[in-house]
This record gives sequence, C-alpha cells and structure tokens, in this order.
Amino acid sequence: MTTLESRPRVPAPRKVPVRVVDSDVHPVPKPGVIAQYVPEPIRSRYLLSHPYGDTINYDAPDYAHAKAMRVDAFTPDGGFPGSDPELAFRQLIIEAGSDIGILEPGGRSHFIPEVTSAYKHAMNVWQDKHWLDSATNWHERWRGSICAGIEDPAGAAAEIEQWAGHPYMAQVLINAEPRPAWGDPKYDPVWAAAVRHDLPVSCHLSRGYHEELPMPPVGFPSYNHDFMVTYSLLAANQVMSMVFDGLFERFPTLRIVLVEHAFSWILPLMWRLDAIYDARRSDIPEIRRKPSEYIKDHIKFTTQPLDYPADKLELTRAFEWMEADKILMFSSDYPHWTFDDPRWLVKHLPEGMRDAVMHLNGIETYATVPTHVTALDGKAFVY
Amino acid sequence: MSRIIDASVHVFFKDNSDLRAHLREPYSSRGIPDYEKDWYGAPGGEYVPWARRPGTYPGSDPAFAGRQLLEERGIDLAILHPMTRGCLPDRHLASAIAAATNEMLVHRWLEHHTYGERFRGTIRVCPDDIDGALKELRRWKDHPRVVQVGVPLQSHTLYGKPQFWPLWQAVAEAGLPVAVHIEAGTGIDHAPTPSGPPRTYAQYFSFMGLNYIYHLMNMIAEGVFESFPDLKLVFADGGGDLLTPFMWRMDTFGRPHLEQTPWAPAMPSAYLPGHVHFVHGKVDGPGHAEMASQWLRMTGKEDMVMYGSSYPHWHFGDHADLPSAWTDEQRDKVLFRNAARLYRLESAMLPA
Repeated sequence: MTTLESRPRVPAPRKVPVRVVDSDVHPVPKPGVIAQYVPEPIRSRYLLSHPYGDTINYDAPDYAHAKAMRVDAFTPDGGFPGSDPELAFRQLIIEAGSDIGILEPGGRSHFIPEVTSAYKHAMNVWQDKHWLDSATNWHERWRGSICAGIEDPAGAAAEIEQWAGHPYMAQVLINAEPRPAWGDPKYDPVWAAAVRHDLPVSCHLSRGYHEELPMPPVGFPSYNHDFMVTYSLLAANQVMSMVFDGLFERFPTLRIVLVEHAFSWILPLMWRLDAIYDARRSDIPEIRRKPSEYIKDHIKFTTQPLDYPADKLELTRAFEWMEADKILMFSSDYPHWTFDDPRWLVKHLPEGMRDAVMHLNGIETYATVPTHVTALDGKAFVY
Repeated sequence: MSRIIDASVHVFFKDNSDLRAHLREPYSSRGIPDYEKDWYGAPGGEYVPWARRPGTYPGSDPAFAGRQLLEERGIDLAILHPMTRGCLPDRHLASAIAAATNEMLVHRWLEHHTYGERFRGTIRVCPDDIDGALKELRRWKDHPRVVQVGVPLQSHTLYGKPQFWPLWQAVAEAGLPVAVHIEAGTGIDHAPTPSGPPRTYAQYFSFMGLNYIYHLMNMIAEGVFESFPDLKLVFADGGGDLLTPFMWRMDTFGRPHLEQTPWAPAMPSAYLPGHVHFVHGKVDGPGHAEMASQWLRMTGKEDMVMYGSSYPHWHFGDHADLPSAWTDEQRDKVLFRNAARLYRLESAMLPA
C-alpha cells in the first residue's frame, strides 16, 4: 500500500467497446523503404533491375493531382497518402472515428509467382517493423494482413506459417486477379494454411498491368468508369468458382472476405446461383448445399464502395433481402479518393443491422481484433 | 387469356449438308464448326429432350417447332433468333454463314405456309465485318417479318468502341433492335470468365451471360446512346437482374468521371429506358418470392424484360413458371407489351 501511495496519481486506462472495425485501410511504404526487406536475388534481379515511372492506366478523376487519393491525406512534406502512420491515425481513428483499422497494403502481382511472394514477404516485414511495432501502434488500433502471393501456393502457405500467431496480424491478404479462379485445387495449400490458423482470407483488387489485369472475356473497358464498375464481375466469378468447385466442401471452416468489390450484386447473384444449382446439381454431386448457404456461411463483403440508388428505400430493401447483417463488414478504403466515412456509411444501414456490419462481424471474422480498446481523447463518435 | 410473345426462339439448319447447300463456293467447301461446343457444352446435351426427334436437329423444323410452341404452349408470336457457327477468324466465312442462315430463316420459317405469319425473324450479321454486315442488313431490313438484327455476345472488343458505330447507325436507321446473344459453335473467343476457363458447366453458365455487362457499361460510357438515340438493344441471354446493382454502381461512380466522358452527360441509368431490353432467363430473379414484384420495378426492369423461352435449349423457360408475385400488369408487360412495343407488333396481334 505504501508503495502505491508514493506514486503520482494516474487514472487507470479507460476501456471502451469497439464500435467500428474498418476492414480496408491502405498503408504505403515510404519511398526506398521496402527494397531492403525483399530477399536476394529477387531484389536485384527483378525489383531493382531497371528504373521505371508511373504505370497508371484507367486513371481516376484528376489523377495527375490527386493520384486516386484523398487530397488532404498527403503529408505536409508531400509524402504519399497512407505513408505516415501518425497522419492516418489522426484522420481515420481520431477524426473519422474508426476504432480498429485492418491494414491492407496494396501491391500488384509480379508475373513470376516467386517474385510476388518475395514482395509480399517484404510487405509483411515492413508492416511488422513500421506499423505494428510498439512505438507506432502504441494505441493498438492497427491490425496487419499477412500478404501472400496466391499464384505461388507453396510460398503463400509458408508466409502464412511464418506470421500466424503474430499478436497484431488479423488475416491473410491475396490479390484478386491471378488466374485461374479460387476454386482450382492448385490453391489448396493456401486455404489449408489459413484454416489451420483460423485466419480469414481477404481478396482485394490490385489492378496490375498488361495481362495481369482482370481479363474481360469480351474486351477491355475504355475508362476508369466502366473499368471499375465491371471489376465487380471478377469477384462475382470468384464466388461462382468457390461455390461450384466445392471449395467450402473441401474446407468447411474456410472464411473469405471480398474487399472493395462492391456487394449489392450478391443479391441477384445468390438467386441466380441457387437456380442454376437446382437445374444442374446432377453435374456437381459434390456440392451439397444451396450456393446462397455457402455464401452466407463463408463469405463476407466490405461496404466500400457503397453504391446507392436515387431511391434510398431500394437500398434498404436490398440490405434486408440479402441479409446484410450476415455478410457485410464496414470498410472506409482510407486514404483513397473513394473513402467512405463511417459516420456517413452507418446512416444507410437499417438500424437493426448496424452493430453487425459496423463491428460485430469484424470482431468475429478477424483474428486478434479485441472487443474493447483503450479510450482516446478527442476521438469522433460514429453512432 | 393473356397474349404471349416468345421473344427468344432459336432456329438451326437441319444438318451440315443443309448449311452447305445454302453456301456458295469457296465457302461451301470450307471447314466449319458445328453448333455444339466441346468444353462449355451442357452435360446431357444442349436441348430439352422433348424438342429432340431422331433424324432432325432441334429447332430445325418449322412445323414441329410451330406446333410445340404456338399450339401446345399457347404462344401467339415467336421472335426467331438463329444461331450461327461461332465467331470465326475469317470474317468472310462468318458473313457467308450469316447470309446462308438468313436465307434459311426467311424462306423456311418466316414464309412458312402454316406458321409464317406468327413468326418474326432476327437476321444475323458478323460485327467483325462491317461492310458485310451492312450489305446483309440492306438485303433484309425491309422484309415485313424481319424485326431484329442479331450479333454474338462474344467479341474481342467491346461494342461501345467506334469501329462498331457504322453498324449501330445503320441498324438504328432501319428501325431494328440489336439482339446480343451467346453464339453457338467454337469460335476464337477469349476464356468465358475474367479469371480464365471455368472448371464446371454450372460456373460457365452462371458467368457467360453476364458478359453483357461489359458491353452495356462500355456503350454507356462511350456515349453510344447519345450518338444513336434510336438504337435499341436486347440482351437475350437473361441476367437482367444484375442490371440493378450494376446501374447503382455505374450511377454512383458516374458523376466524378464525367470529365473523362463528356459525350455521355446524362446519369448512366437515364440511358436505359427505351434503349435496353432483356430476355427473361430461366435462372433470373427471386423465383416466387413475394418481393419479386418490387424487385422487377427497380431500375425500371418491368419495362425492359421480355418473356423468351430459349426453345429448344435445356434452359427452356415456360411462361407458366414466371414469378407468381408479379402483378397482372407486370405479367402483361413481360409476356406481351414490352415486346409488342419494341418490335411494333401491336397490329399483328389484333384479332383478324
């Protein structure tokens, strides 16, 4: 007792419930930082073998100035949005009010599967050292993603094994574009590793260039407008493949998150797949349940980009009909130009679904996401 | 008794010698793929068993098809849409096959002594051969029972791109809608999904028809409906349900991108009414769920969707199976009014 009395009086940290789990936050390495973490010889032979500039095609509006980012997210000294953990913390956690940010570092695939794996490995080391370290993540609001090059299934599985159990890694993260689709058995080692460690696998669009873009069967879109809208068809096809190729029969505990692919299309797609299952089930005897049941049990979608009709009641109906409380998780996409503020997003959700979408599904889905966090002074209230 | 237009009936040559008899040299001696696909073909066969008869190809006999559809199933008018033999690398051969198909369609079906007056036809053109397509259009556009021009869903380039505009302009001037439908046969097509070849027929069938979304969004962004206000499209493989979420997406994403596409200034969804139509597919929609009526109203689908059976395909859709929750008015629109307006068939349906 006497010892305690001799210390200065500091209030115990106040714990508050997690109300907003943000499923899609994009940190970016500062220039020149990532190369040191790429193993040799790949670092020299592929990633640093020649200089090259911007590789943009399908440019977002005003790209030359905004780079497809929130313009207020550039750092005062011109650093790229998402490159400064402190600015991200202030804008996303304090000012917009997300409680937990699931970090999803971008990065296209690199043609040679082992090169992608080496780059993904570097992204994991970098997250561990620059975002999830105790000096940066003192507030414990960041959770990382085990980046994995799915086109190199053995390398991806090894990466998962290396990082599983990390106190701040929440999931596995793969690119959406590698071919073939996810139901192909060549990827089974990746799903097996994820399931072994009870980690969800998130699939995020990563563009790529040349033939690494999603390959529209009937021709390439002309503009970022029709390109980004039809990007959702890539995810729709992944859902079809996962269901009809029996992925969830092979891995009954596998959980998939489709990030930033939009989601309202899943409503008519579930009807379509159920009807096709009824008509064609004798072709696919290993598929034992209705596609919509697999989808609701195994796949989550993130809310950003929220696409909405002129008549908002139609959106409310769609949420109800698709049982959005079973399949949706909030995401902001900070710091991209298409950022959805949690205070704006939550208003569109039917009241009875808000807790599920804003935090309960996230807490249940991700590893290492707590139910309570230490309170922060001045943090925005979301709902 | 409701009036029924079947907006999607597929017709075929009887066999290869029948096709070759309609071709001139050098085309009649060329190698030509058959109608069926190998990979991507339906296990169990492409066609419903009751449309198959020994010795004839399904959908190749007007008397038999006419009896099955017009008499036994109560269809008043059928819009015929012949299949060709794949998107071929040689556009001259593709156009020759389209021309042969059109002669067969008109002479055998549209001028059929018993059922011809209740058939309307889709002439086929090859959009990779604009000159040939325009020639074929000129040949048939004034035939009183030709009501539509058909192009494949498969393509190497989206239909909003300017290389196709002369065709859209001519078709719009002729007052004929364009029907986009999955082509039969083995063509030089890309893999049917954006992730490459599917492993199951179920996935192929699920995705393939949805490729219309790439074409439609591109045509909107390219301003095709601004340039050709009279152009009318029919996406004939079903999948009209997906229109609603994809148009929400297209509209939401549309305003910020306007600076890149000033030639298409309206909200994307404003280009749909009067321009875009769908054939109702067997696997479309929420079935008999109560909200089916509300759903059909969203995005104006109740004015775009037309009943079509896809006879003689395995996914034949019976008009008796349409969602029971639709209102009487919605049912009449889908079974009759939407197609009657599009194909200008009101007068043909008046009692004699």
